[in-house]
Amino acid sequence: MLFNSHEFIFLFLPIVLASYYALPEQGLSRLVLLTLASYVFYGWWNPAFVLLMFASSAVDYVAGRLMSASDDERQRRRVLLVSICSNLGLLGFFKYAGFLATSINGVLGAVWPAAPHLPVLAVTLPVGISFYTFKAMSYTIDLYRRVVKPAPTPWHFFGWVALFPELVAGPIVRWSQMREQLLQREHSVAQAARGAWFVAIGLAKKVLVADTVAPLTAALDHAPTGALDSWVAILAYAVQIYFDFSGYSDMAIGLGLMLGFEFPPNFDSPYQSRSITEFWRRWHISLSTWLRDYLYIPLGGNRRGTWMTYRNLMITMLLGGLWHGASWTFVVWGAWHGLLLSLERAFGLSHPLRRLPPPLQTAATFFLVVLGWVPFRVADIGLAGAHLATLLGFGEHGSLALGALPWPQLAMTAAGLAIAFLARETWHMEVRLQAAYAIPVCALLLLSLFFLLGGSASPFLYFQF
Amino acid sequence: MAEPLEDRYFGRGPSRVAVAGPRQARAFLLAVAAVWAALIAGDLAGRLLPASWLYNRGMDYLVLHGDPGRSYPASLHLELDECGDLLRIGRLPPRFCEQRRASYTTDERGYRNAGGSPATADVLVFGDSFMAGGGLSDHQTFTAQFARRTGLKVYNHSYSGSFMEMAWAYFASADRLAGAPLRVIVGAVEKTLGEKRKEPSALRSVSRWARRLLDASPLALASRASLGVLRESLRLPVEPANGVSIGRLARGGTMVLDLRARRPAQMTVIDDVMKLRSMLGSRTELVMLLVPNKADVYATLLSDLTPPPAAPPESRLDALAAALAAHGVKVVNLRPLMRAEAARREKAGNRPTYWLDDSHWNEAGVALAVDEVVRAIGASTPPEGGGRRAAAASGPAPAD
Repeated sequence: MLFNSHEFIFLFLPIVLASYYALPEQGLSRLVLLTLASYVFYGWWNPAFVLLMFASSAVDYVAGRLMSASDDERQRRRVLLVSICSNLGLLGFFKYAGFLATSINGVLGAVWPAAPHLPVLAVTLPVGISFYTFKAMSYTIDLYRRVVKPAPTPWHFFGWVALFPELVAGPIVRWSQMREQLLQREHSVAQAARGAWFVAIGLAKKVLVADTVAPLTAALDHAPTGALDSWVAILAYAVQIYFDFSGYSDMAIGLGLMLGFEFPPNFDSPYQSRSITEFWRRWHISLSTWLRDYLYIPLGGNRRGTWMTYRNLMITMLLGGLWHGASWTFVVWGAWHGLLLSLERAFGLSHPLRRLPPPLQTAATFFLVVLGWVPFRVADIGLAGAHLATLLGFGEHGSLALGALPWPQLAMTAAGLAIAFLARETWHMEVRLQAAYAIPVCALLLLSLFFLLGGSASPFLYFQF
Repeated sequence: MAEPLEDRYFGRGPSRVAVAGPRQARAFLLAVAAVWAALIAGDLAGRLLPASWLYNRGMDYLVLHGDPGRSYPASLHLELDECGDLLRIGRLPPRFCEQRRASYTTDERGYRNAGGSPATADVLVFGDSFMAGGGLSDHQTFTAQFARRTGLKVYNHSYSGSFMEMAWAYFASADRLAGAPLRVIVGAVEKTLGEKRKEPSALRSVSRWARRLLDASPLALASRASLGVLRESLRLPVEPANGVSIGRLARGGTMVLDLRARRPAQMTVIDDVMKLRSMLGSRTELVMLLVPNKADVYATLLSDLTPPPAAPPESRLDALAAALAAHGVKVVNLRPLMRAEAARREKAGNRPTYWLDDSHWNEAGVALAVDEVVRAIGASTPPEGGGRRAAAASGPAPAD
């Protein structure tokens, strides 16, 4: 189920909220309800994947119990290894097996044409698997490091892994941030009111902005036709990905608040960054901090000399790129950011961009980020190269027929850019909610629903034939 | 790792979204909740409106209100002005609708017959929405036209999206098998062949129930309609969604195609057919009617397909028909005929054999199929000469 779907807004959410608040605050009943509801939420796509998530969580839960019961370091390490292998194994099989087989076949075929081909399995990627395996790993790794306490009951652990507000697209909220809240949290009208604000803004970001500009990015599906066309498409994509993802995160935060949870912010106006280093502190924060704490720092971080730092940055960004999807284009995207981060570190404060006035630093950073979105968005590296060359003026300049372009989409792209550069992130908006705020919030909800319901082809019809 | 993770992570500080005070927060929340509740209540209450207001296709109503996957609602009569399924799938504005008035009648078993019973029929028809008559009035369906043409008692036991399952389920009982008619026709369009119906599970039935509730949402219908009007009045370019394309016919006018319908038939179809054949034994003749996908028939005949298909439509019907025939099954493969006829009609500027805005055939397409089946089986007289003839054919008399 998606947050921006009819069934979620009209059916799932009202039923879950009403039952949640009907149950007593003491005891486990609310947590049990959330766990079961989250499994229904997840099973909506494909009931079979519910079993997968359950099995994966079961391994991590048992691993956690074993580790916390033992003082034998070697045994604890073995258990941790089992948990990590189970999570990475699942992720590897479902997300990367096909990619790996295709890549190996490609290399083998090039050096030895008669080589036998590895079978390429057509595996359906379970939704959200990258998010919940990373969450679960934070649990077992932190337990191994003895920085957190284990889950007191299975409900706490399974409920946290499956928690529907942040199950399929993050933020990756760690056990260390959630343990206290799962045990005890405060429910108040003020919390729920703030939640409604976040949900309304998030839904509007997703439906009104991201979905509106999405058709403009279709030009990136084909070979470039001109520099102007590629620029419009990639700027629309920059708007789409930020509003889509941060909108989804805002909705997650808001839904969490309605259920008494405080999730951390996932975005902080990333396009207003003045350097790539800063960008990564403000973009998909829950992933970048995860990678920092469980990959970059264990690799040695910046404490083992200059070259090791660059190496660690590069490894972290390459794997971070690959986390987004099994394709060489994501590796290129990761490498691009790894390179930029290393360069910024090498130049330090004498960074050439640092001498520019701040708005130009922001513009230059945005330009570099946008170039990175090209491989992130297009289907293959050849297409990425063609579009990059065109964007940088080495191809057709193109004669964009502005009249033929749908102006609402162009206007929304411009508005989206203006918001991204000038406005505050939802988390940091200075608002003190009062009765009158219900008017804009309801207007946003109604408008989003209008476009959501009006634009959706009936989902049922796909099952009819 | 001495420093607690929270300190670094929450370093950005708490959110500045706050409330002005408990009373203000309560008023705000109540107002938002009231609007939300009113929307849901309005959406639910709107379902009391007559079906002809809520559905622009009778078949959608039938599928959504029947016993999921098994039968349509029993003893129903519905008359409405309808448009095609591709209009909604492709999110196209109303001007692409090929407006027609259609009547849908079901019997007490929930199938599209004016009367009769499967136990006393000369010919039993199974299959998908093409056989059930999606988009067709009662008197235009395959069964109705076939009954009129041959004078036989024909029972329509087909159901949208089903291929063999309905026939297997029907003949699973020994009584019915013993009383099997002399002829069973199973028909399906290529994209339904090889589709495996998912077994109903508890979770799936909940999800189907929810879909049924949501699919006829008056709120969604109103939003779709107003958004369509808005887009038209702003003269925004039409962008067909979900793999749907629009093309121009030679005689003028546009036709909508579903280019996702490329799925070639799976060869498990042969096993499926042979399973039914061995159930039926030699006394009952099984006739397989294979219908080509609309895209397979029309994609090459239309000009200016927008968006152009990623790949030309493929078909495995011919190979499948040959393989079935080699297994000794009587096959009527409509692909060569429908393609030739479509090309001929395009050249002459005549009406197509599929609806312009729907993935199904129209009554002219059905008439061709009936002719072809009659020719193939010589059905003016039933096999072995002993059929249960009757004057009252299935389906009401033609209106025109």
